Amino acid sequence: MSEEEKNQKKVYNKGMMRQVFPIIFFIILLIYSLSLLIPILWMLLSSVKGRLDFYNNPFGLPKVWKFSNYSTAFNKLYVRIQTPTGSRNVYMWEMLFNTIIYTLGGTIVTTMSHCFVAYACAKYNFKFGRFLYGFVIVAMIMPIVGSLASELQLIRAIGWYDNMFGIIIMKAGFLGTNFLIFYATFKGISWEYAEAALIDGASHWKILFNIMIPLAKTTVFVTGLLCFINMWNDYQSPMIYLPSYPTVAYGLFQYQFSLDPEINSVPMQLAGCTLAMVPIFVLFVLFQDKLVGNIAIGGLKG
Amino acid sequence: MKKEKKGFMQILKSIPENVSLAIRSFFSMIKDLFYDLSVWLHSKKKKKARSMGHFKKSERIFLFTLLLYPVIHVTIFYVGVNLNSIFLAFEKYDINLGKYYFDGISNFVKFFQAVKYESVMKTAIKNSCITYLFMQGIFFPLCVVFSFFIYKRLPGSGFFKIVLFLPQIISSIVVTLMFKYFVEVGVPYLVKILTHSEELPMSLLSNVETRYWTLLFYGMWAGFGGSIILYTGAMSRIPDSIIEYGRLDGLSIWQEFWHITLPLIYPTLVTMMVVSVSGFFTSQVSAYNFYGGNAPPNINTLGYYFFVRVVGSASSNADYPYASAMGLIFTAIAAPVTLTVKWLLEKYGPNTEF
Repeated sequence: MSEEEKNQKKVYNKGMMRQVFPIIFFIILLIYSLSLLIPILWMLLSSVKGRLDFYNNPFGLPKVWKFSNYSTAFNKLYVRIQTPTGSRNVYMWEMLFNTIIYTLGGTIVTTMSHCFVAYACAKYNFKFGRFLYGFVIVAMIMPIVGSLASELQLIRAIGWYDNMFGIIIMKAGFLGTNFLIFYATFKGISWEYAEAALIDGASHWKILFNIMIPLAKTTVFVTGLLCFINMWNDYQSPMIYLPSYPTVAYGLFQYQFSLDPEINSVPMQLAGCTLAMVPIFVLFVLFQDKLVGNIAIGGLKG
Repeated sequence: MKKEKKGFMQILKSIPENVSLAIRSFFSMIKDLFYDLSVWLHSKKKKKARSMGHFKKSERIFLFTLLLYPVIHVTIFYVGVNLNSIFLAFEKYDINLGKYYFDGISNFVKFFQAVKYESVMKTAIKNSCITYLFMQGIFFPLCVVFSFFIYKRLPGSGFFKIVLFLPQIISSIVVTLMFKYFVEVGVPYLVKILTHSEELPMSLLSNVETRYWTLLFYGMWAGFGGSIILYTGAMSRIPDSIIEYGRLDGLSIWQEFWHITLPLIYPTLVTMMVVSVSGFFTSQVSAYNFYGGNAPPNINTLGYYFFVRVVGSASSNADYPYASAMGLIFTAIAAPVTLTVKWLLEKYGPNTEF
């Protein structure tokens, strides 16, 4: 085989590889995506079936579309909590209220905390700022495992256990990857805007709120939205720290272990899941273009 | 004869042309060297950080107000909590008095005895090892490869991105219940239909042999989205000019992945690998989502064992010291391992900046 023919074959092989690999991975990703979508569709379909209808034909269309499953699940999704006078049930409306307070409060305080510290460290060249930046990196690199018991003991000691305000404050630290995302964003924004504003007599607060945060609004929005989604879906924190303020996610966790014969069936359980999924799903549909593809983290250079 | 004094200009004129050129070149070279040196020094010189005292009063007040809450927070909930954890590890709870008292290293001894004699702890360690290896050896590389093909905008990548992100935004409890019932009811029904058998086969979650592997599969199945978003984010920052250069050089798509994409997203990969080391001790393989505090013993991991010790229905203040001692031991192992992993990855990995 001549040299020219060899080169031609090499180019042909590379061309083939360019086509074959994407096709293989396209098929794998398609199968994987279907494996995610099919159970979701199955859940939606099963959630409107009767008990017998479901067990006789788990994959068929419902014989009778029982949309009443949703109202039953809504009314029966509750958590029993202990009060000083005994115990009471917390139903869906109250859980929704708790969830909104916990999620909104937590999102605002956490995002502000990350944003402010990252801004100070990125834009003001001072020793303590560098120390804080180093501290975040060290905290990320040096894993401290198992401080949960100590945390519980501490919040009991300061009276914040089972206190919504206290737990929101406790959750809102600045350590973690969001700090790095904000830090990178603010580092990328030119300080010249601020200098011009300073010459015009603007205060540092005005520069932060009127210039820097609007310039970093995509990062603020995306990290805020992700924080909101995480807190909405988080059932373990309310379970551990807020036993008297159950959220929807925690309610759903308890719901699966319910012995109530009216809801102790797969269709009713899946109806509860569908109800809990709706608010976040709507948010995702509205903002998916912003959520997907706007987050990047770099290395851990201390 | 009176010697005639020569002027400087006359001396210069008397020097031959080639020697004069050599001298001028030499001085020009020295000048260039000094210029290069000054450029190098300038590039080396870092802007010195100022102490707070050097700022204007308005700046000081601004920074103080801005950082007051976060600093108090980190002092109490990071430094304070972790210091308390150390003290707690050496204490014991007196149920009658309702107080903690110093008890030496008994909690640590208890832990090592559990490692030696308790079968649940042995299972937890074994499962944690399997989970970590599975996640690092299969899940992590698959995530990177999937991300690459989504980043390369193969047909339908927009659709895949959204679908893969779904398990991340839907509550983990919803995803867990959906998966649980699909595996417990749907899959046996499908198997029965496909194999034309009379009886429903046992579900993968009920079978003792397959239960743990099903949970491991679930972790991977539901976890791709978050990682893929991060990796595609890192890949999208690679300059188009580098990709174009590689394409002109005739790189195949696999070579592009291996020689361009991987080295350029290496810092992100290191970050993820470093952060994931602690996962060895904290991963619960979603056992709490599936079973609450009553998971079968054969699916225990260290993370689950620890979590149930602190928040399980049977846990009390008396369990906190033992849990803290466990946490301290885990940290004592995880911290040096993490640092070593970071050091090794940075020392032997590609050093790329763009």
